[in-house]
Amino acid sequence: MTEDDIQQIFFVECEEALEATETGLAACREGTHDAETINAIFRAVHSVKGGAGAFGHTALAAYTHGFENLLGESREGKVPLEPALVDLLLLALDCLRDHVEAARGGGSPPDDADLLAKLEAAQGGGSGNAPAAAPASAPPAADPLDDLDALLDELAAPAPAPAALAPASWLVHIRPHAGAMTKGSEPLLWLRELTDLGGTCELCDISAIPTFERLAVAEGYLGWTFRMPGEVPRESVAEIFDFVGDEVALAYDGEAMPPPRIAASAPAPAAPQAEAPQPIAKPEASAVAAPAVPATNTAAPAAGSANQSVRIDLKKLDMLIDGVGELVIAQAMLAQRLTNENLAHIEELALIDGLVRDIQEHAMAFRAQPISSVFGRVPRLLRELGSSTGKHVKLEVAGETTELDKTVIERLSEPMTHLIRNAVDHGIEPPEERRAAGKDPEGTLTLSAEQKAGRIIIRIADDGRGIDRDRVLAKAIAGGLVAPEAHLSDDDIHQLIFAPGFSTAAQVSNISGRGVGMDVVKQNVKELGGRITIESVPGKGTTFSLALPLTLAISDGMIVQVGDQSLVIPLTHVIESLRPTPTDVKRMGTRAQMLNTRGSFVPIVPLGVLTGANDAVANPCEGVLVLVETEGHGRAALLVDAIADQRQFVIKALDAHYRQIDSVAGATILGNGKVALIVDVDFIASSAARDAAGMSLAAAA
Amino acid sequence: MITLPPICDRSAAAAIYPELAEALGPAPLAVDASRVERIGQAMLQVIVSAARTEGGIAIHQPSAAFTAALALTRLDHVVMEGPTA
Repeated sequence: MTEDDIQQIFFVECEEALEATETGLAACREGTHDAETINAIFRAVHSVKGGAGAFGHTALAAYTHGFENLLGESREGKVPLEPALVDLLLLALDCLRDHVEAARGGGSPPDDADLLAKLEAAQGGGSGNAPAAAPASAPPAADPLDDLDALLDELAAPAPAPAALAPASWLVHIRPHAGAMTKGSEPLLWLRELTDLGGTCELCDISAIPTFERLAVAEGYLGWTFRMPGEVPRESVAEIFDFVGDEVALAYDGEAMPPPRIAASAPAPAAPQAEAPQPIAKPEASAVAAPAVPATNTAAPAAGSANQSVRIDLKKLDMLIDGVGELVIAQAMLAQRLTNENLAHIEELALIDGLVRDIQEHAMAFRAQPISSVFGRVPRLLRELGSSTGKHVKLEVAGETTELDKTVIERLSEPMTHLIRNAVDHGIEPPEERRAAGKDPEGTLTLSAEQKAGRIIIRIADDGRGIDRDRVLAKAIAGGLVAPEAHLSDDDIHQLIFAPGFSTAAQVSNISGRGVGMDVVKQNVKELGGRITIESVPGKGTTFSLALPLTLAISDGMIVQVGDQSLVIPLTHVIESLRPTPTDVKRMGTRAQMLNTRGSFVPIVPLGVLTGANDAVANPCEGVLVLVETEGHGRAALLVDAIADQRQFVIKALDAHYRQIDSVAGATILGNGKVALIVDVDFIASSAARDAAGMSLAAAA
Repeated sequence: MITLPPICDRSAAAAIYPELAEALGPAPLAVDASRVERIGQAMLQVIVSAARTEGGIAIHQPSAAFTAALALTRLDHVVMEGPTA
């Protein structure tokens, strides 16, 4: 593993730490925190600091140091966790995120001088900026069970040595083992941190270093004794080492220097000592303490065992998924061939069918990520919007564990950001207006995600003023988007805000109002194979619902025959299929036909006409009607000759090879090797609904 | 004369170890530490062990980083005892 790889891992861990901090601070803000919350935040920031130091990101390390100091004070209860402090910590978190980005991208680190000054000012009693200056009188006694370090220290030092009675100076013995020099950690960096705390190196134990011929480079032979100033609490020293695990042995004051831990082949004069039951070294203590005192099992060790994972290069994963896609096609071809041989119903084929489906589902699950990675960015966005618009918005989140394909997640954040900006800027009223309307002056934004019928539904709801339909319509007429005499339903008016260049904002702000946002949102969602719908109640709020496919690669579909063409209708849209009797079909005007399904009329769309297929059935009573439903445009009945099959299909984008065509969502390869077009049900239903509306108006006139 | 690389991490120590083993002899081995920018425990151990061989080593033109690391670890007297140029 190269240093780069390790560095990548560090950045992944940074992301996790940032998320943990965000979650923790959110809990603090809501007042649902406990001592462990603060500890978790502290650990997260501390591990960023440790890694930053190890990789030489000095700006990041320096900043986290300042951040950590304040967190440390608040952890020890010296600084009360008031809302103002939480806000400051949240600001600090945002800056930390910028720092991490800068370190990752090699860009210049953000200007943090002001913030660091504020952080320092927030520390209790204006004490200095280094932990060296922190009073030694505060072991985290608030809840010692929550602080494994403190407990371990107590175990490591059986003689009660309260920090309050700290001597003028004390000794710490450090013995890094072989593992301390791997994975990007470097013992010398810890020694430097000890020096930064005011410690001085008293002694370097080189007695374990063997003769040159017997030296093993990977082993740790050196041990150091540092003299620390009395006012430095033991915890601050233990913290330096707390993310190293048991790869470094620590001992204090009168205790003996921990013996080196060297592989059996090397001569180890201290080996007998190592086996003696001396509860000096921290690793032994932790090994004993963890099982013996289950109450001390903090989140860290528990998470370690529960969350076992392997990191895989995304390219390798995509190769696997491409392979699975081809497997699905090959399986379809095999099925086709067997059908020709009259062997379609053999057991083995059904077995393979099931296995292919399983493999495909598992492979897709590899790419699935919880949507919390998108939702997780929202609090920051709201804070920024809050400071620029003066509207403070509460965030409520549900279903953040819902999983979505990685590609969908990545391409989702932009439209989500647009929608949220819009909700805050246009939807949620200023506090005075809300108060006048009898609402909570603080607006609420609700994000939710759920899996429903093979799709993911994401809702972004605000409790603002709702869409002003009259104003939207007036704007649209003024902008020439609709004819002045047009009669539009509420839904149609809502859809107008997705028109390019449409904006109702009286004033263009730097947040929104330029009218470029919403059509981009619609386009983005459409590219993902998704749909967007709006519900809005004046004075109560607006909800945007995004319905997205679980994956972009493979889907279930109905294969239908239209004349000499095969077409695929995505199964998510299909409600039922039927062969109508002549009484079910009503003619409208000269061309259009409607299907009477249990009292409601649905426009019939002959797919043969749209595709220009030869010899397609024109009379609905001779063919099959596939009833489809869309979220925004109601239902339609697609007229086809026959239903051929229902199976999985691999979606191949048409615009990558040819160009985007209306009413065609893509193409796929069938079992017989032929290309079949995938019907864009959404587009067809919307144009059918429009035609039908025009027709009924014409009929009424 | 053996030259230490700018980044003296564990892999650098592993790389230079056979070279040193080959070159160490009855007379002090000249080691050029002028390019050292970062040095870790693994390399220090190699150097300390080499310094304690029969002929020992002689550090030439130690860089600031090299000197600082020795001062930090209190290994200066062990490593620099030999004749320096």
